[in-house]
Amino acid sequence: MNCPIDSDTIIACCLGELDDLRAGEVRRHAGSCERCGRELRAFASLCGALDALPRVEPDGRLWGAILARVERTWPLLPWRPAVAAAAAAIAVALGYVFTREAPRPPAGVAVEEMGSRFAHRRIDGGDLSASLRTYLGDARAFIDEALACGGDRDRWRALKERAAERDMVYRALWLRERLIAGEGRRGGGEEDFALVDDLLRILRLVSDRPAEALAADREAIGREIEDMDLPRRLERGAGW
Amino acid sequence: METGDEELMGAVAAGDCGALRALYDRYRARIMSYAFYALGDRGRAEDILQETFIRVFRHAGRFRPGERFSTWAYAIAANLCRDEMRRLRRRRGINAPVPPGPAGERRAPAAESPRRLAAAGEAADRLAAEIAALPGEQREVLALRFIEGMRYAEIAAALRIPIGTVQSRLHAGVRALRARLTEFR
Ligand SMILES: [Zn+2]
Repeated sequence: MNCPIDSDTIIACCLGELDDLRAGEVRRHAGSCERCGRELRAFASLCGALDALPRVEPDGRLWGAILARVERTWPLLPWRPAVAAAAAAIAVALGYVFTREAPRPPAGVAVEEMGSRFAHRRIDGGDLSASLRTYLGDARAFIDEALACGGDRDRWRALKERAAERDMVYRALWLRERLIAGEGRRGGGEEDFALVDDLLRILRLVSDRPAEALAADREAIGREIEDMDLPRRLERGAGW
Repeated sequence: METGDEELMGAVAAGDCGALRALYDRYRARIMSYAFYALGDRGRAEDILQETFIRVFRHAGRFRPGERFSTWAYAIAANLCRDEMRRLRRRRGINAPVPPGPAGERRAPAAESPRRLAAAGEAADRLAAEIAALPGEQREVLALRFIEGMRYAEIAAALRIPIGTVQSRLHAGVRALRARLTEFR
């Protein structure tokens, strides 16, 4: 039998691809043609079943896993109490308007507390390459210097200028991404991450780099790391 | 009034995890469902969802105002799904060569996956299982069209393929499903 419509047209009709006029023609024909009527009913009921397929929810714990990874990538957000306190002291010293929601204990105590936190810390690169160890050493030196500034405004301003000059924020973000890329097999340990996070928190205060510029840095670094395919290289046991 | 996706993305670009959470809550079931029906496996779909949001966060600076967040996010998820399909194909290629022909892409859906949809009834189970057995390129357009209710132009933008290709893959997918499911004969 010669039908004026083919099965593709019937499928198109069921998928809503046809305009009203053409769809009307198809339905009229299907009403009087047994074969096309059967086709139309079958595809329409299949499309109805597809439309009714349920959505699937992820496990409720998935967000926690995402947040943990995000915080490793971008540590400028939640403040650990000791660092938050030190940050408050720095902000006071620099005359910043400090709008973070972090708690603000008395400044002197906070800086002291932060100092004691760092006092016992050693840079232990483990499997990290010499260059990463050097960067981590630099990071530590900068933090030590920041802690030594206490409430001295002039010293803070000098440190701030040097941070800008050396593009410290970018370096710190880069360092952190490197640690993440090497995480697990040859990368830094928790202490290394904590060190870079502390550095970034301090830099956040002494840096005038606006949020958009920081986002651009982060993006550029992420792309660089991706292009280098570091995680996969590390998987294969290759060096940095 | 609810904050718009694009506005939230601005906050995400500045490092705001709360904004990322808001987007996650808005899109988690959608992207999860897309990945689930595209990959036919719940665990893998969760991995895709997680990785999608990590990338949303990391690449938020690449998001341009005026762009639609959903299209942008689906493009990320679709890329990840395709990588995963390639990886699975390669692995299958090494361990168990699949016979050529129309059934070449068929694979049994993971044991736990369509069963988990028990609430939706047995017919939906069978349908989900048959979708999982379709070629990947058909699964992804079916998922976007039926689960997400996207228009062809949106699907084309998310998958970076021509609209004509969206249409032909949909038709091929619907045709194949009908051939495999006796209740639609
Ligand atoms: Zn006919």
